[in-house]
Parts: sequence; C-alpha cells; structure tokens
Amino acid sequence: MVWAVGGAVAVVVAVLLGLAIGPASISPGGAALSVLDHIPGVHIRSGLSHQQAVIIWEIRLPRVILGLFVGAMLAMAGASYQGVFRNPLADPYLLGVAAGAGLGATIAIVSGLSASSAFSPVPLAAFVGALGAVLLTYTVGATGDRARSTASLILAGVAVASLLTALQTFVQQRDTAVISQVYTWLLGRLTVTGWSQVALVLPYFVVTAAVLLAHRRLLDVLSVGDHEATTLGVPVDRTRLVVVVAASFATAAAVAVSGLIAFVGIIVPHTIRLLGGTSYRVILPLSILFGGAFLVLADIVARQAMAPAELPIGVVTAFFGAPFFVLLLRSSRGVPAT
Amino acid sequence: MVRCRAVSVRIDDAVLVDDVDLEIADGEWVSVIGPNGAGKTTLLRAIAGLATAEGEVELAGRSVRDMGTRERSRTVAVVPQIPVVPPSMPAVDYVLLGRTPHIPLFGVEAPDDVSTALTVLEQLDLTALADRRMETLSGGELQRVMLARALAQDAPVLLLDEPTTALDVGHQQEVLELVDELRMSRGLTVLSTMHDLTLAGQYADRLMMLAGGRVVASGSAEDVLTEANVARHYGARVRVLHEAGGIVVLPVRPVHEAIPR
Repeated sequence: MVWAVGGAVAVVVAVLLGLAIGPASISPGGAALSVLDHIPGVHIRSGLSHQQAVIIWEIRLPRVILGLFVGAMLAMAGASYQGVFRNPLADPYLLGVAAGAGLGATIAIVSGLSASSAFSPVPLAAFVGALGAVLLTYTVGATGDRARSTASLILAGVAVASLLTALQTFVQQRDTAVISQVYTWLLGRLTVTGWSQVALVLPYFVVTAAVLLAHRRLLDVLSVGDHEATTLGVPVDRTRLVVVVAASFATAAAVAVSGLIAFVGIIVPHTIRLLGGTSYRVILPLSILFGGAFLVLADIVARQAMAPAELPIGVVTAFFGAPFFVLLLRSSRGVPAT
Repeated sequence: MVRCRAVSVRIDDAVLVDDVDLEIADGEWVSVIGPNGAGKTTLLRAIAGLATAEGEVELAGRSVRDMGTRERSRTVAVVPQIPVVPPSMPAVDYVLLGRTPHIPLFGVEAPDDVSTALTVLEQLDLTALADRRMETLSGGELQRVMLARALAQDAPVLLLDEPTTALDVGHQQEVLELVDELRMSRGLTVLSTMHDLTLAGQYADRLMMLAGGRVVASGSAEDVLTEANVARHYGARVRVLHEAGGIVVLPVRPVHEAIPR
C-alpha cells in the first residue's frame, strides 16, 4: 500500500518534471494547469502563452505519456518473463525480441522507405520482426517434455537472437550509409510527432497490462515449479504461453516506437523485489508505475544532458540504472529471488 | 477411494511402473515401499496425473484422465519429496497457494480461503511460523508447512512422497502421527512412499512392495516385511522384530572373517 502510493507519487513527479523541463522554461504548475485545461468541461487559466501551451500539449505531454507507456510495458514484460521462466536474468528481450525488431527496423531503414514516405514503416517492421522472432523461438524451442521446456525455450531464444543479429549485421554492412541511423534506432529513443505514437501503443498497453495483471496470482503459484503448480490445479503450459504472448506483444509495441531501451525490464522489477516483496501482486502493478516513471526521468536526462543534442535513452537507462542497482544489491540482504 | 488397474508407465524403452493393481479404501493408509528406482515415486506421479500412464487410475470413481487439472487438484493433494521452495515467501502465503484449486483462475483468495489457511496453520501448530520466510524454516518445519499447504487444498486423497526422509527420528514420528490424526479427523485417504521400513510398517494399514516397477509383495506389515523379502528385493540383511508398537526392521552388518591388521 505504501509502495502503491509511492509509485503514484513517482509517476506524478516524473510527469511534472517531464512537462516543465526543456529548452523553453515553463513552470510545473502552469504546465499542469495547462494540461488540465484540455479535460472536456474544464476551463482553467494556466497563465501560459499560446505558444507555451502548444509546446506542452503537442510536444512534451505526448513524449511524457509515451515514456510512461514504454517504461511500464518493458518493466511489466520483464517481470512477467522472470516469473514465467523462474529466471532472475530474464528480460523482455529473452526470446529474441530485440534481435527480431532490430532486423525488421534495419531492413526498413535500408530499403529507404522511411525517408521517402510520410508514414515511417520502421515501427511496423520492428513490431513484425519482434513478434516473428518470438514465434520462431517458440516453434523451435517448445518441447513436449515439461521438465526441459523452459530451458530449451531460453536456449532457442539465444540461438534465434544470434541468427537474427547476424542477418541484421549483414544487411546493415551492405549499406554503410545507414549505419548511424540504424545505430541510433538500436540504442533507443523517444521521439514523437504529436499524439500518433501514443495512440499506436495505447491499445497494446491496455490489453497486455490487463492480461498480465490478471495472471498476478498465477505467477506466484508458478514459483513452486511446474509440477507442483500442476498439482495445485494450474494449467502450466497454457498459462506460460498466454503470459509470454502478452509480454511479447507489450515488448514489441514498446520497441516499435522507442527502439531497444536496455535495462528497464531487469532493474525495475528487481528493485521492486528488493524493496517491496516478491509477490507478483506487488511486483506487476508497481513495475507498471515505477517503470513508467523511471523512463520519463531517464528521458529528461537524455534530452538535457547534451542539449540541444539528444543522448540515446538506452544509454541513460544503463548509465544510471546499473550503478543504482549495484548499490541496491550491496545494501540488501542478498540476491533478489524470482 | 483410489483404484489402479494395470497401470504402467514407460519412458522411451524403460518400464518404470509395470502393470500395477492397487485399491485403497476411503480413509485407508497404504504405503509403497521398495528399493531405489523401484518406481514408487513414478507410481505416485501417475496417480496424481503428472505422468502419462497406461491402464486406468480412478479417484473417487472418476478416471484421472477425464479430470481437468483443476478438478484433479480438488481431489488429490501431493506433498513432493523435494519441494521447490519459493524464497522470501512467507509461510502463510505458501499455505494459501494450497487454496488455488478453489480460487477462480484469475481471481485472488476470498476471506474464506484465508481463514481455511489460518485454521490449518493452527491445527498443525504452525501459527507462530506464519510470517517466517520459507527459506528460513528447518527441515521439520518445512515438512509441516508443506503438509499444511496440501491440507488447505481440501482434497480427500493425500499423496506423500517420502515425507520423512529429511527428518530426524523424532520429527519422523511427529509428522507421521500428525498424518494419522488428520486422516482420522478428516477421513483422508493416504498413499505414501517410504524408505524407512519400520515406520512404513508401523503407520500404514497396508504395505505394497515394488521392485523393478512390479508389485512383489502386498498386504499387512507382517506379510510384506519378512527377512526374505527384504533380502531378496533390497539386497539387505535385516532382522525383523515383532514389538508391541509394530514391526521393527533392523539392519544387521554382515559378519566377515576378521581381517588381520
């Protein structure tokens, strides 16, 4: 309960900072009022100029909201993968999502379509690549033998990821002009043009979060292993499949609009385990809140650290996330359990 | 009531359980004994629906094959030999996992489920351990908490896989006495596998000895626990004593010619 309030506060603070900080200085209060003014039936004088109000509504708010969704989806997908594979190292990219999305995006960039048309095919190509990779991993790695199935899935993920990364590198090397563009995409960034990307990921966020949250107790039951979970009446294989599919859709949607943002899917759930407990009833909802808040804050750093240039957000999440997590590990009693 | 007819379990070419017939009446306690690799655990897994078996396994008159996972879990509770212990989980939450068969798949436990779990904890004298993290429990405490989870399942059939192997002799007696009391008070049907032949004979109504997957002896402790049976199937030299509390099986070290030093 304390942590739920903490998570909500973190989200609000991150959103206010995300709205207020930028090249044009705008007070957090004014920014907040300006946003509230857009609620139907509400009329508030925010005291901002028309230009400032446009900056808030058309530039900063969409980016902040997108950051919330992407961070939330990566963190809850990571937590779900860790639960369903009972593996603390599992992250949203475990089953080849990153390599598949990278290949899809690279092909789209190399093909030149992204430059010529108004509608960029990169997100769609990344999305298709990500889901294709998971499908391939599942097809190759699923065995009838339950005792082996999680290990063989993870190994199949490793194999699929290397294969797709090799293909991606091959495609990229053939067209060296696009390397920096590909590289920028791979490192991840939140860039938005108005609300279209937010509208794109919203349905994925809503559906996958609902599915994963519905499984919060089942993920706890899975912590006693497949056999015992079966004797407790849980259809283990089906549960694992549904969770993996939902988590993969969440990851693919996040990757499609933001590239490959490292580390969020691992550190956010583990930080929550260390601070708030190991039940997925706590981990999943808090991963959504803190994952979103963390990414919005990381994005502020990415925007400001070398302004007017932008750092790739994946660099920021890893640069601040890794030392923070090491400190947390050292100050806690032991390795977090999954 | 548990009924097995011509149950066999094969993995690849190996026959782990070979044509086993077994009937356990309601409220009865049967122990399966036999040397390592005799197929005891596999038989238990077949009865729990965890292993694919030929032949017919019936629980309360229904074929295990026709039951869904959930229905099966309301009929039979399993205490595994080597549990997967979820670290950091409080004991009370672990016991609450036993309510899973009664909780809607995507729901959370109702107040009824919580009170059932607390009642079971109290019955097994575990209330003081309710908030302890699972990995901090001793072997005896863990065994009792696992039993509590199985009882929270409210299933009429209880399968125990080597429930005493990790325990000292005092805790062995304590756990088996507890199972016996619960069997009486709740009318449970109990099937256990046992390594300790003395305890197996003292606590079960009937014994069934397996060797190489086949039933080699079955009946009362007196009939099954003979020096000849143990010698033949375990390759062990034992004395069988008939005490007031039941049969005692004593290992006897073979006497060798004195080795000159």
